[in-house]
Amino acid sequence: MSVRMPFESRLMLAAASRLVPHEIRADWRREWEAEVWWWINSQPNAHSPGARMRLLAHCRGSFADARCLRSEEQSAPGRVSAWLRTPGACMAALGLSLALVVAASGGLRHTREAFGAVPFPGGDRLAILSQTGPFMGWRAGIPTARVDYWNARSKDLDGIAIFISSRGNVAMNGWSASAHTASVGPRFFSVLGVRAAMGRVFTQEDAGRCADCAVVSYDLWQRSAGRAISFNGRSLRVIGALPRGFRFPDFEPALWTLADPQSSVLAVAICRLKADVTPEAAQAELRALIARAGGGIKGTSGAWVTVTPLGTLAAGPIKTLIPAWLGLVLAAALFALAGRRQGFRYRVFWAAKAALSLTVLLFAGIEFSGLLLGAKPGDALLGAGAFSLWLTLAAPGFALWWSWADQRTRCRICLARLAMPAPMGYGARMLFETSGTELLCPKGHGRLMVSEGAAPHSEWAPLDATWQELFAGAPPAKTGGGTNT
Amino acid sequence: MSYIAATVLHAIRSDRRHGFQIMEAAGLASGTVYPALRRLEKAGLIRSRWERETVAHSEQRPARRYYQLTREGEAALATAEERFRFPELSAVGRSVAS
Repeated sequence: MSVRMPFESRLMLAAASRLVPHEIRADWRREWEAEVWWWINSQPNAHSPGARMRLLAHCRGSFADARCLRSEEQSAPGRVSAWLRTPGACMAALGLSLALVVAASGGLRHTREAFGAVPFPGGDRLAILSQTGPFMGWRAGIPTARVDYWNARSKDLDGIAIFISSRGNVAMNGWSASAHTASVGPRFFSVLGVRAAMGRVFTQEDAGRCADCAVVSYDLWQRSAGRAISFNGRSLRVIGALPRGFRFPDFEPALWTLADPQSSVLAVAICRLKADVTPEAAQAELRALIARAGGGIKGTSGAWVTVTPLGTLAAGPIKTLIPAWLGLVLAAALFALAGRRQGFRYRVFWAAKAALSLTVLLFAGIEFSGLLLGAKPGDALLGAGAFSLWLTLAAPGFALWWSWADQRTRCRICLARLAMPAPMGYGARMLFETSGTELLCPKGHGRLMVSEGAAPHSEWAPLDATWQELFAGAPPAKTGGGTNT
Repeated sequence: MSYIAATVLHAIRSDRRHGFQIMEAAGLASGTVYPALRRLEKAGLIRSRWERETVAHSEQRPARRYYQLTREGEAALATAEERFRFPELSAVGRSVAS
């Protein structure tokens, strides 16, 4: 009789006993301590670490027992646990997730920008040049040598400029920080139509003569207050500051310098079409110019140069995804409402859950996929197709799978998540018998038998009167045969 | 009737008479067996009684709480047996049964 119960198990029983109604607590404790005595005596090495862990797992059941005795109506943890199983909790969790996505993304900034105009003067005439055919939606940049060649000869464009994003150490007297920076061609700001808020921006005259010049963002200008600025240890001469909030394409570099004209980096190239020139006409001209140059221009075949309006690139994937999302939501709703096997409320709940989870993942994908994939700022202009592919395939697939998997483990009547999973039978031994797992509705409406084996399926059946009375306060279940899903 | 409830009734009729024995024999977790025992007792399908302290003391062990089927429990189990086929109960529980 003098078997000592491990401290952690004794503590767990003491904690669980606090949930048991006072008038039966002593009896309850006495029964559990006797049961633990038997458990310890049945183990060959009861005080080994492994046995102590198993005993702890055994004692964990005392909480379920105690909650059962207390009844869920009286216990705060029981009420929370019961609420978490309700359909309202599921919808609240999805609503909260959507609110978090909206808050963390600054009110769905990317989505809103996609539906707004390009934020530059005459933005409808701005276009991005890319080369090579799209592979999985990805496009490559343009060699800087080719940009100079086109700039000298094109009659359909008002100018082409390159943009290369980077990150480096920006320092002033007594302050330094790692910051986004950008190297651009001398025509960059004139192509965009942007003027300096202070001083001037780069011009064509700066080409080859202003290697130490820098244009700074409005915030860095405010911070520098006239002090000398260096970038990666190299002193720079600030010639101007940009207007507050200037962004390209979707971020705000602290520092802008001139790109090395001899660089072999493939850069984002932006151009401004002349009035009444279409992107297709400009594209044909650029391809013709490359073809005329033959092998004299470094780079791949000019046949693959593409001119895409900036507004289309920035918003294209998003504007494509919204109709696709609407289509999926509509399909989920039609599929759910057209089903005949379960009640109308059950099917509407599934449709609403699928729609809401699709919405959460759609906006999370649009707003954060760049961060997830480690994209650099310029990639937004070249790699938008790859992001949309990821969004289009993976996220909706996951949302629909999750909503269906969750739905299958819900009561067909009250929509609560089923509880008390119990293994039933032995799949390996019972050739012609059922084996699987049984789940119960926490309110006693019915049970779900999930069969295993070669043809797994689930069968829902209302609980009969024998079991009904064990669920206090549960409404009577409908009678009738089970249904297979 | 639920399969769990029927299995617990089946174990009790097979001479597994306290919680640990039922748990071991039926292969169910403690968090399933004890709540099921409470519910079955509340429904009148089983009843419990405490072992006499003198008997337990004479055997140098704590007193146990024994469960047994009521007439209603026997009837409910008979009905359940038409629907379910129960797995073999482990011999472990029975070997320590009194």
